[in-house]
Amino acid sequence: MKHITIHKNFFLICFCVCVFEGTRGQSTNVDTLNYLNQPDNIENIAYTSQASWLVTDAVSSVEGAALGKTFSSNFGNSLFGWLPGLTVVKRGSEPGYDSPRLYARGIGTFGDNKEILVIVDGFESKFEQLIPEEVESVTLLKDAASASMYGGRGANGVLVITTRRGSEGPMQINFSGQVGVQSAVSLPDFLDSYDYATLYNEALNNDGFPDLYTESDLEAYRTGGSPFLHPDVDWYDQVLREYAPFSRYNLSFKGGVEKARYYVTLNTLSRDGLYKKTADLTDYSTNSKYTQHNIRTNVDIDVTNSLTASVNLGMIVSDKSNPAAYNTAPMFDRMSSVPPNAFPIFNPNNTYGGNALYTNPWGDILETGFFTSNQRYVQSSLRLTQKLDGLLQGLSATTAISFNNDFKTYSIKQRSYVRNSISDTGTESIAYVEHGTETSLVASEGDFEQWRNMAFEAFLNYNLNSGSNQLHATLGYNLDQVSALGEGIPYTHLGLLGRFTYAYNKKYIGEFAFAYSGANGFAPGKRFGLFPGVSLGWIISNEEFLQQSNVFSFLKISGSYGIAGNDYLGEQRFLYAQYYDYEGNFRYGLDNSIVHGYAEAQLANPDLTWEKEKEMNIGFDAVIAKKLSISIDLFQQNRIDILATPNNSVPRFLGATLPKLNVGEVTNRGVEATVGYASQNAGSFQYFVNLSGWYAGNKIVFMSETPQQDEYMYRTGQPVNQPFLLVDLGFFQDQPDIDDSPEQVFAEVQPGDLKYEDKNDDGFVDQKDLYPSGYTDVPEMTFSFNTGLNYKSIYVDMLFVGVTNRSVYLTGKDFYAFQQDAKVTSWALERWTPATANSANYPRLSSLNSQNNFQPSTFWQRDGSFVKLQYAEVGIQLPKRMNEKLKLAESSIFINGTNLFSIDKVDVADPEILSGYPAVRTYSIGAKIQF
Amino acid sequence: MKTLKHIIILPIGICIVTLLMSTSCEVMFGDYLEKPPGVDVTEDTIFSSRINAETFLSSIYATGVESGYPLWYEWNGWRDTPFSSWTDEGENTADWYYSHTFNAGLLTPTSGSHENRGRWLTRFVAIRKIGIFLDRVHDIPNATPEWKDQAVGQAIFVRALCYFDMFKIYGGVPVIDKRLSATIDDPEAIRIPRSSVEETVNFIVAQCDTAAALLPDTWPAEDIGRATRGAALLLKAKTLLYAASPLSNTGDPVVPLPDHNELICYGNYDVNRWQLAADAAQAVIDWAPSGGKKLIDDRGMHPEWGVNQNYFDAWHEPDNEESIFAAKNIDQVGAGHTLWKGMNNFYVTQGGAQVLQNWVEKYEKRDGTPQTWNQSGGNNLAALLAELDPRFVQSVAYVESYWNEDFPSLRLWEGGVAANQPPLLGNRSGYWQRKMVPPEMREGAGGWPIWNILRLAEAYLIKAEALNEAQGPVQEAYDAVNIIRARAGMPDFPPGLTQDEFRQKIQNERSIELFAENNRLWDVMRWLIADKEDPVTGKSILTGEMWGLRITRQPDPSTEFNYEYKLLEVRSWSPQMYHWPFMQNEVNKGYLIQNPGY
Repeated sequence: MKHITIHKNFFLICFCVCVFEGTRGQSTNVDTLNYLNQPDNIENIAYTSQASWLVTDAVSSVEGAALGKTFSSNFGNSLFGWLPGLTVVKRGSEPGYDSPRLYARGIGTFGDNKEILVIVDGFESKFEQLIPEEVESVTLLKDAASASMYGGRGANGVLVITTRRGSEGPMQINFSGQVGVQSAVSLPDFLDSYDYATLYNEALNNDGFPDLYTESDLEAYRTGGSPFLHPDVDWYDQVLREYAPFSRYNLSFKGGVEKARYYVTLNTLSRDGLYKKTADLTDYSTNSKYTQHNIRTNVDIDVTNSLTASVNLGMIVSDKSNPAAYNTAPMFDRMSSVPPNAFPIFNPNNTYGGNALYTNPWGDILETGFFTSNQRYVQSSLRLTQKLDGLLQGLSATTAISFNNDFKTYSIKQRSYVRNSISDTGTESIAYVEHGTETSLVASEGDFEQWRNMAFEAFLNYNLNSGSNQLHATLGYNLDQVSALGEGIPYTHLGLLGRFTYAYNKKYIGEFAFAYSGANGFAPGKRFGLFPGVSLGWIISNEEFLQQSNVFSFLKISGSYGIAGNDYLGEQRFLYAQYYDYEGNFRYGLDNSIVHGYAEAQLANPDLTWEKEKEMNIGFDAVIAKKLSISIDLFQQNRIDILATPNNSVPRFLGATLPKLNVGEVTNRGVEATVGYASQNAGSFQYFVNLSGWYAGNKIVFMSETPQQDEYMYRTGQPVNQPFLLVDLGFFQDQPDIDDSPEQVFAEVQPGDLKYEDKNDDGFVDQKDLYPSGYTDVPEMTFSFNTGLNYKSIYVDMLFVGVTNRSVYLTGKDFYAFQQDAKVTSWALERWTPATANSANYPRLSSLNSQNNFQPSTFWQRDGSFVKLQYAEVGIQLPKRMNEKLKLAESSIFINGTNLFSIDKVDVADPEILSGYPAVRTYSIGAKIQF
Repeated sequence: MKTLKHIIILPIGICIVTLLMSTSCEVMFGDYLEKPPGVDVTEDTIFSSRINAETFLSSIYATGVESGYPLWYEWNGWRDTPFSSWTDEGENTADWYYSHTFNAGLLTPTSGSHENRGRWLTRFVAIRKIGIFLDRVHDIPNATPEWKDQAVGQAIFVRALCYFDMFKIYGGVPVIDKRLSATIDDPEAIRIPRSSVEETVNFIVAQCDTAAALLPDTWPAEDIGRATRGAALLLKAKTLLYAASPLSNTGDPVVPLPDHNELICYGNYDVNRWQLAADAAQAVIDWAPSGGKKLIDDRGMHPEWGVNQNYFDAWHEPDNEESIFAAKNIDQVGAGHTLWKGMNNFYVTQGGAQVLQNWVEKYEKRDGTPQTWNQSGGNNLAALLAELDPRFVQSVAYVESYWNEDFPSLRLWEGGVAANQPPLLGNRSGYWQRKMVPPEMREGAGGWPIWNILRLAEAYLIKAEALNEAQGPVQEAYDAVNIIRARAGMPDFPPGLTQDEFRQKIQNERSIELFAENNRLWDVMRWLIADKEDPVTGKSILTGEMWGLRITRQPDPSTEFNYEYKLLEVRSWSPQMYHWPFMQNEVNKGYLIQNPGY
């Protein structure tokens, strides 16, 4: 919507990702040759920006415009696939509860804080409040050298996000609108009443109990002839609708006059939940809906000839409403619990069905009240830039303050209602038993979330560009204070930081960056540390021997080494101080009067320090024959000083909870590679392809584990969060098989139960046989494939994403037949029975909570690899004639689909969102207009 | 050239400025990172006043004094039972109790049961607290020297108690008599090896002596429950008794520990060790009047049981005149509390403590002769039970006996319990354990589960046992045990016993008197009879067949019951279990020598 020509934009996207791993394209020229010959394009780096050819450490970036094609109500999800080195792990799909975890170069620590640092317009922030439309670019600082200026916060990588700004020129008004529908990608396939009852009888029999359902019951379920006493309710069907609408609209104004430039955007997004619309059906229900409104005003004013003031103000207000509960998790749990035959939705007398064990999901939706929450996020900053050319040509000073505030509150009006269970009295009449009571609405309000950040910074910058010598130096001072809900004391940082970049002849580049920064979580005298980063680059293509080469249009080799820190050490803070806690009581006297006991808490670690990441990166960028670009980064990270308890050596007779010491160590290594190809012809048919893949594999080197009997029991040597599972050997076939096998200590087993491997050969299968199996749910490898073409005024654009070296674990009611009062899915039809012993794919059924079959085991682990079509978009530009007639500068219409298909091995669920609110697929149409 | 100059000068200048600012950064801006004052409690807070220090002393008691009731507040405490179901005293039916692991002979260095029950970590937590307390007690500004002495005495007593408990479980253990520095830079400095049995015993005895010198004889009413001089004296006697017993007082352990027998025994037999124990017991008896302690002998008849309830009150009445030291660290609890899972089957149907027939047969008749049990069954159970030692009805609840107002007559015959009671959770042996389950634990009513750790009766039993070993069955030994028997309503030991006969009888007497007080397990271990048959009953102790009764009611108007023997369980034991294993995780750290056989 914001770009003059949509089709041309693809090339920008393409080259953002591939050519320089992100040069912010300002040109609308599709000629890649020209593009490449603009080495002064600006790349965002820590605290500032730089000509992209000067960047010698590992960064990758993407334009905001590329991100909007993935429809999501969370900015983080739209980053998937765009930034080599960024791993996006979805945590949910429900609007408002869909913030993913972002990891730069995988996981580098077993410490509590593994996630990336997010910087928006120069200050620590969050990403959830952003929308793609307002984002100019997103840059991932991957290596320690590039992140070193963030001192104790940079070790997990930094996501540097900048928002759009105005530029001098006439006002551009852009409008875009997109409307569409979303539908669940997959829902659990629960069995109907007949199958449920049949299998439940079988489960009872397996446990030595008689049938619960008689032949005539089963017959009634089969025929459906007795809908009240023998109901068959598909609660998913009843509560959810197949398609739920969403829409988003954006209006932006951009331009500038001599002394002032502006960018203003208004955005609204609304996404309905998958629940049916119920607000109009009763007095006590609301529609499931999420809406957000964003406003951003970025203004730059030249106060004097040399002083510029930049004011950023971004705000989001989001509202979420649901019936029955704040989020949909309890309802999905209930829909996965209530058996199809438990009760009808409505009884013959039109009351809600229900029983003592379960409430009525549909009744809960209609009758239990309103659950709303509201989030306000304000981001503001003022930056003054004073040119000091009078003092020294190229010298300038900037100072900035920022205030961010995130506040989320809830408001509930809640009530309970009556359900009736019914039973056959044997005569014509039906007996009713009431459950629950009818109450009036009770209201409550409170906070969900609070986060705020106040920061200040001041920099002195010097840029020199004289012939063959280029020097860019910046030196600054910053402090900031981050407060979060429940934290009595804010996280405070303070530091000196700087960067010096020197280039000779655009061939040889050297850079030194540092932060000397302190944080308040540490003991006096141990709060400050130096975080340096050094990098070197050689642009070989600028050497004489390659200058005339037709093969290499551009060739650069770079290397970096740096140290970054991670000083968010988890919930326990100030571990350097020795505390005493309330613990235990004793009583004295005949009246047993209590004297409370205070005792030494966990031992302090007076030398407490932050995690340090030492990272080396080697980069290689090339453009071959002006068409094919290749970019490769290799890295090796060594994270040290991770907090770990010295369980391996300190005798327990020390008698204290052992301290957390900075002794842990993790290595992480990997590669990011991107290959892009773009057609060069300026004709009517153009296309590009861009393929990226990135890998990061970590290994715990030391975590001072308690000594173990067997080598395989150690977490050390395994990746962080490696699953340890019992190794499934199939099903017990018969009693002799059980008798011949090691004893499984969890419960008495019978044929058809899962049989596990006795890894340590001690004759028992127990917790000591948990074996490292599979991968974590954070993939080691991510691929993305982006391709597009345009033919005349038609364009097509697609992004495929894939991950591998990932495992997921199936757990909960959607998979565990009859467990925790749950029902049963069609998977259980493949259960073990004596007759199906050879083909069974599910353990024998049990009406009890099975202690054996649902132990953590490889049976429930699945390969979590997948390939998904993240989005596909087809659009057409309206002919010039038509635009002129409508007095438009540009206009286009498009159709878009996201999450259109998935290839994976999980079968019974979506590989990213296994249960609960389902992953959604969207189909939409939209228009973009520029006045 | 000008630009080149800039290129050189500027970075140098910036570097200098940076360096200057860096060195003084914390000085300049340190305040910004200063932690604001909070409500944190630190060690200095604790030792800044007597009141605060009292809280710390209280936590020493809370951690260091082990209640015999299940440690429900500790890790996996719900799987604990008192030790009665680990011996021939009793049985807990529900299969999750750790007692079953032990009874199956599965005491391994990696099983969780003994790690929990051995409280290795918990005791050392208490020992560390005591180290800190002794380090800092003299810093408390407003405490009197007398208060400090008594506080130090209490802390040292608790330390002795912790070490005694570890000595009886493991043999020699590392002796930590100060706060160990947590300096992890030099882990070797805190990797203290095990002391020998002799050193460990000497340490405990010395601690008891020190504590006895500092502690008062009595406490005012509001402080009753704190350690007294008598507690230190009795703990000393008990320690010396254990030290003199065959498990330790030998050069020839059941399972030797090559090159390190000193960690599990003395290395020789010395009869004088028994004399030391007897003398120490005599010191307790001599002290008792000054501490206001005496055997309870004035309580009168129990209204339902038809016996004098002195013995009942000795364990049942809190802070009574016979109790010398008790665990008072459990809050007031109701009848449905987790604590009772392993004990009381009347409200919590999860497998209460039952008494085995093996044990019931140990009770003599009231005339001092053994009861005759027909091993193939009989038709006179009520009559047989009615003839037993008065302590029987005060210890064991049997068919048609009175429990409390809610259960005035226990329906322990087959078919007597409501049909909806799951068979697994119901009674299997024919007896419930009464002792240690206060009858006032009723629906809606609670109480203080106070567990007597030391009571005066034991001093007499120690004296009798030790004197018989040191000097033979001398009159003094007779006198000591007969005091206990007389109080219970039983006749004196018959005169003219040989040393062996006296030993057999005093062992039985000790077991009966101290039933369910967590002594039996350690007694049979120190006597080295865990794997033998009980000399009185000929039945198994810790290993072999465990029996209950199948009781059937005779038709009205008979009030008699038929009984048949019912095999409940066959238990296992291996000789290395005379000393428990240290946790493998701990042994793997390389400073502990594991006990033999593991």
